[in-house]
Amino acid sequence: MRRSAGVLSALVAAALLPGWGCGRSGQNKKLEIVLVTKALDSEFWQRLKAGAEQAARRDPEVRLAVLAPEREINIDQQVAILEDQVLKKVSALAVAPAGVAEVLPVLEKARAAGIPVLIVDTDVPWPHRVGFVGIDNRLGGRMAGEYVLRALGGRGKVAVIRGVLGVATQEDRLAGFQEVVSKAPGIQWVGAQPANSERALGMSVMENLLTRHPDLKAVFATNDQMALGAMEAIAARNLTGRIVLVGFDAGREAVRAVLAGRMNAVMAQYPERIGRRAIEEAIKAARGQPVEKFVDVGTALVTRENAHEFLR
Amino acid sequence: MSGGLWSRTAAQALRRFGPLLALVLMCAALSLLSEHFLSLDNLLNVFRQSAVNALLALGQLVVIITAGIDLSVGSILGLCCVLAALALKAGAPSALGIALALGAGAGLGAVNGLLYTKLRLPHPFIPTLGMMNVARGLALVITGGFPISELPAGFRYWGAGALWGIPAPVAVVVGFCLIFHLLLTRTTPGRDLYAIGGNRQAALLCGVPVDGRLILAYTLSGLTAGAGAVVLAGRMNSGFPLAGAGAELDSIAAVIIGGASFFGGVGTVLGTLVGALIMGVLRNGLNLMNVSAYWQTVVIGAVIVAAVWVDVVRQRAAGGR
Amino acid sequence: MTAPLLEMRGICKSFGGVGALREVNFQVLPGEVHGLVGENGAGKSTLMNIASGVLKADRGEILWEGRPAGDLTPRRAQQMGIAFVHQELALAPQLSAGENIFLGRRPSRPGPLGWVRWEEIHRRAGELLEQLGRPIDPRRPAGELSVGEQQLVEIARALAFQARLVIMDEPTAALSEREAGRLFEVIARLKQRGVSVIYITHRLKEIYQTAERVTVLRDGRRVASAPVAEMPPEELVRHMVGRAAPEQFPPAAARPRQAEELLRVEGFSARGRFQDVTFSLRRGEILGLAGLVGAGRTELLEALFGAAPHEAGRLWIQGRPVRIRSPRDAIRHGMALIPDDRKSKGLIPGAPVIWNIVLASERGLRIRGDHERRRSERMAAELRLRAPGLEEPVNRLSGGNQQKVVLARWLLAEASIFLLDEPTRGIDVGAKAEIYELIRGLAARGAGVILVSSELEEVLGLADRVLVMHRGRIAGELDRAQAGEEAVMRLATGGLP
Repeated sequence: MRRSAGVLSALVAAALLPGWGCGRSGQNKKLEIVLVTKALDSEFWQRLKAGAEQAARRDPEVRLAVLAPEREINIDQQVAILEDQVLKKVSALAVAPAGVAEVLPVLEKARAAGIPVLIVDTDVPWPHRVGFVGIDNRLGGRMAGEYVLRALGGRGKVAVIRGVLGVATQEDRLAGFQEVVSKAPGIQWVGAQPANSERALGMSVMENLLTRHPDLKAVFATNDQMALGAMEAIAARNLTGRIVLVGFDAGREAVRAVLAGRMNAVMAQYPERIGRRAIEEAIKAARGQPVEKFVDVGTALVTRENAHEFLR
Repeated sequence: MSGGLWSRTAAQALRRFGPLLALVLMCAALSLLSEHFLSLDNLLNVFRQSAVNALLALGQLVVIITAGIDLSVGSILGLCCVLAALALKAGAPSALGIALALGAGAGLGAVNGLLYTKLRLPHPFIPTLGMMNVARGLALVITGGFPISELPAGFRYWGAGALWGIPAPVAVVVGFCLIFHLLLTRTTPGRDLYAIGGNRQAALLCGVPVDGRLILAYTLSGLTAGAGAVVLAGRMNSGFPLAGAGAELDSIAAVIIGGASFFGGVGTVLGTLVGALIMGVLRNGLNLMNVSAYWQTVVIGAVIVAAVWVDVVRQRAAGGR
Repeated sequence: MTAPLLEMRGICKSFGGVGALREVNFQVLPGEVHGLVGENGAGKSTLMNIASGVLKADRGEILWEGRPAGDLTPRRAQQMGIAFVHQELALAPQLSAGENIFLGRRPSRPGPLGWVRWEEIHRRAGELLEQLGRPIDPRRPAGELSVGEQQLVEIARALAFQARLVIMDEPTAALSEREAGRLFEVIARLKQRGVSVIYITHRLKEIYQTAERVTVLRDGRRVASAPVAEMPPEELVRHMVGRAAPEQFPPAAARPRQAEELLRVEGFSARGRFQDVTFSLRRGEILGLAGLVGAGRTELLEALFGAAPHEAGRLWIQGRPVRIRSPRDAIRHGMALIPDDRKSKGLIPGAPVIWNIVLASERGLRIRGDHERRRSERMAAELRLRAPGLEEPVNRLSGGNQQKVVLARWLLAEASIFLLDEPTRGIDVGAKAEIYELIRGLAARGAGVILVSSELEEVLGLADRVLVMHRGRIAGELDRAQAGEEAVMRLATGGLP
């Protein structure tokens, strides 16, 4: 009996070893800001986290924790994390919701507890958020669409590989893209296939698309991971350069792929900027200062010509 | 051999109360480490967050007692979420949505049992692995992948509501625990499940209707997945087709941490409930300490291995062979 | 006298408080064939499992070539040169004979990159098999070989790693007479090569055919050890059975000749297992079913009980035709099966004694705790069950008490037709006598009993009538008066009556 207890308490103790947690808080009246992202398993989220930490370091009063579920599809895990943070009555929450409708109940709880909530990256239709920091995804989608039209000369079969359904960022990018290409009479719309924002799924979805539509001319993947997966599927069939491939996020790996000519273009997000601005606004909210309702950090088209600028 | 007798008694106590003791010690440690842990609000939080896993684990327990395994509970939960949400969106009353989730869960579970016994598939791994994929696929097909959100309040009550301060999901879990406990300890079908897990051939030769009991076990497992769907969809205000992805492994972990044996014939409702709470408390405590989800996964993995290791030590102490 | 190859001194071993071996001394000389005999449960297998490192002795010493062998593990015993050819052959059926012979070892250094040299394996395997006097194609899958050939592969495997002592556990149990004859030739060749053989058997005749010395175990003690030439068969039997033997079997109760017919079986057949079996069983009768291993007795009982399929045949119980498709049907008609293997078919080992007792009779929806406890306690008292407690797991009990639990189960179920398959297997002598008494008691209550046993004296001592099976058929029926060991054996081996 003593042994099992020993094991478990050792594990609990291990969880407290340096670097893992912030330990006790609240004694020295610091501002406790928590950023909860959809996941931390890609460059995009890691860079967003880095930006957030940079902003937090500038203010000595602020303690920042960045938390996330294991994978973007674990919505219930994100909800549990948020519930636990609400309970701690942190000074402000910045949330990138993994599921728009699914997080609303816990956001209401935060409001009831008097915690200001700032939405990051993916907007939600919730009037009580203190603000939104992100990009205009619809605009990004439109820019990607215009690029594809130019590259194809206005004709050919076009498909989209998209992330988890029902998530606003994904819906907006798709909608913006569709808005542009649907107006071009020479474009044949094949459809949008979901691949959960994951690289492996992106690859297999692309393989299926190529099997069913051998004459496919262009693919827009609504994030980098799926685009990189699709890129491998295209390369495996020796079609690199013959199919226009556009990604979204502009992580280093994707930008390098653009430089190498394996991917045609990628829409740039500035995740550090999103993270930094999110925390700056969250600090304002925690102090009861006015917060900007919509912080648009901007987006840009990355092609071979300007790619080196995104590789600093 | 007095030493043998002592270690046997100790080993029995360990199996019976070991998980509970571990839970108590963990709570004590966590309440020292985080001032937020030992508050009523937080404990209710833990219960709410553990409810779905506890429900799935109850069904999984019944199956594991028969020396089986049910890999499909997470996917059945996802499909039931979606079916109930669709029905509610189409204007069905809340009660019908709940009945649909429970009925569909039990039905899919029964299909697992029928496939296993009537097709004489070699191991329950096979039919439930198949069902895991079929149910998830159907959930995605039916919805086109979109979550179905904004459910009526009557339905949401079972995931998000409370009665006299007790969260409704907790009441659901307690209710199911009582029913399952009575089934397993006070009825012949329940005892038959232990007999089948202990020695299927002997049970058959004693006139136990083995196939029928196995179908019952998988039906119950499906039923709790349906109940989990009601709680989860209510809590999240949404029937999303990816709900419960990976939940089957969490449910198995809860059952094993709770002292049930993978070889069948052993396991209790109380132990399983404690197993689910250990997982819930760990995640909650680590969340409160701002430990990343990736490290939480590492800790839970270690706890599973530690729990089974304790079981091995117990068997070595008890076994005369 | 030459120094012994293997010497075991003062070996003691007990299982769960039951002594299996007590102060046993045992010696094997280099190059001799040593017979090891004793009744079931006398401790032969336990002793050999200790010699081959599978079990650890509680006390005692093992010397190999005069030096202490230290802590024996199966691996270490193998390295020293001890090989065990088990009763259940342990070959991988999909692998070739040659691969089986060299399984886990390399015939020589591997080829480049550690590749297996198949040619070499098969060539050397072929040589070994030839040395044993039986050319078998080493490329054939082991599963396709006959039992005798598989045994040979096992022996070749022993030679392949230079075994100096080969232990054979009932090697002729599943062999035809011709195959057995060939095995004796192989043993002679082993001897020529200076290999020692320990030969465990129930068949005393074989001792006189092959062995030079013989050791007798009884109830876990060594009761005799001598050159075969100095041990006439009658003396050997006396040592094995001990003085208590004649009183073992309680007297049969007087029984009306024309009692009611309980069970009638006509033309029962299942392809490859038993053919056209017809017999009847009366109230209060014990019907012995004799035959060699593999004659189809277990298969017949399981089919009668609905646990295995049959293709043809009809059944009457108390004059009414019945159809039995599952054990549940059989139980409903008052049948009970006490299976040959308690551990794998008879008991739920980890479950409490009570559960095991009431499993077949308490079939209502609700468990009535007090009720079943009272009934179990009554049965336990009636059968003089010795258990630390009825809530203890049944596998804590000794073999004899486990068997009583199984019997109690069917007494509670009020069965009237008892199918007993090896009811005293693995039970020590004292408990055996109790089981015999219980079986008699069943008949005295008016039940009908079908008794299958490999121990002929058991069948002869208990049965009112004996059916002898040979290759799945009833070879003959003997009255209690006619039934003698010789008569039964003649029928069982297919000889003319």
